[in-house]
Amino acid sequence: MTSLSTLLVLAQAAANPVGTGRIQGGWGYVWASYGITWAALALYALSLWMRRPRTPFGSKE
Amino acid sequence: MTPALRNRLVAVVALLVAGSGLAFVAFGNIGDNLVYYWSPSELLSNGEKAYSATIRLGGVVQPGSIQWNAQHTTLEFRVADGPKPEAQSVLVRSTETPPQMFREKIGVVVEGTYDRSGVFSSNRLMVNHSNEYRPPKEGEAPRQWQETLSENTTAAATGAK
Amino acid sequence: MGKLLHRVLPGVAVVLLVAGAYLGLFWAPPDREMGDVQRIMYVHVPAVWMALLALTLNFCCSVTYLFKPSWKTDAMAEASAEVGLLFGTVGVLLGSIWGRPTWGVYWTWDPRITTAAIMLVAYVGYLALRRFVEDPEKRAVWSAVVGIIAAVDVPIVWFSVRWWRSLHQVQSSPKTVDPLMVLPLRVSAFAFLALMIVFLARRYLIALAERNAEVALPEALPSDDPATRGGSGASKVVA
Repeated sequence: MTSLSTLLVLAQAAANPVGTGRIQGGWGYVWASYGITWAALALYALSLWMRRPRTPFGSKE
Repeated sequence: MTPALRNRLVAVVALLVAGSGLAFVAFGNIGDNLVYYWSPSELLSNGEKAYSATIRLGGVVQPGSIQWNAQHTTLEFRVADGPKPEAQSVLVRSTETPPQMFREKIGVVVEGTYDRSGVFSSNRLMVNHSNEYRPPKEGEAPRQWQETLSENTTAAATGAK
Repeated sequence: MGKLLHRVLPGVAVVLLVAGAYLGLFWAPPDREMGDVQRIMYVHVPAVWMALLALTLNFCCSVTYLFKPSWKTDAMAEASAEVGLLFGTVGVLLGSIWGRPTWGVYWTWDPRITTAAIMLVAYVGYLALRRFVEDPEKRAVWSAVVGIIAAVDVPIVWFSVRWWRSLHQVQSSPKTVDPLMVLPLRVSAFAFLALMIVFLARRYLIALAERNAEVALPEALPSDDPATRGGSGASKVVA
């Protein structure tokens, strides 16, 4: 969450000043979103690999 | 009773419970009691009930009603039932920084309290987005058209009522 | 079939994911009103779609298990709940990030967001129940019941924006979205679909291997078809 808020500050600083005091969107939000998605999918794939069945299929114990 | 029969019975009961639960939510008018926000006309007609409790008010920003104070710390605008000038509206005083899409005629939901002087003091300002997504027009930067528009309305300080 | 599922499909998923990200981040135009933050749509929307799809599969497995018990359906129920929860959590997180510049807030108790949060909590509960019940047969029956009850919220999440006033907009359709934005969304959705199928298949094998280890005796599930039980059954699954 802290990294998110820094991204937020960065996003606000990078945006053009509108002069009317608005919360500005920007690439910071976009990269945060795609980053979270890729990280979550990669971590889950890793967890599936770590939990993979040790005994080969078809062989009886 | 065999386990197989018991399981089937359990399934039927669970499906009945789930189905009636869903039907209750879908057709039980619970939306009437648990509304996310009130419209301006509902707020105005509710009288006493609307005062002092924290409530949400939703509607459209009335054209020509956006007004900042000199230091840009307080924002005033009117939330109306619809974009037409004659629609019923409520004056909102917000201390929150509005999101980038805030402008005239856009849907907003504000959270706060309504007092007897007829002012809705909001500490949470949210903008509603439609389900439409379009690229900028030819030769136009995204959001550019909107910035020029909002500058104009900031200068025009006219309360609509 | 097994080779296609476990060797080819992961590659397809990764290629589609990269293509979808390229299209969404660099090829598609920004939104006229929202600017570049609109690009979050290409991951937020497919993630939530996949969550709803996986949890619907969980409901189907739950019902099927109670009518025709089999470790395969139970294993698929476990897999679909976990994968659905993964995509659902990602979808809600991204929605929260998207909400900040667009709505002005990360979170509000609007009907769509509230029902989505309930959905996540429900399936966390479902997976916790699976973990805490030791007896595999009891676990399968109880979790099937919980799966059926929890599934009530899945259609509610979908219809919440139509039934009640909400801050979240109603579903977009190709009519309300520019074709230049529909293409990245489609590619991204198929990428997520391929990846979800890969995840489901892998997670299913893990669950099935656990069941087989737990149920060392072939008689453990009396009502099950003997052919689908035990180690010999697992080999059929892969084939």
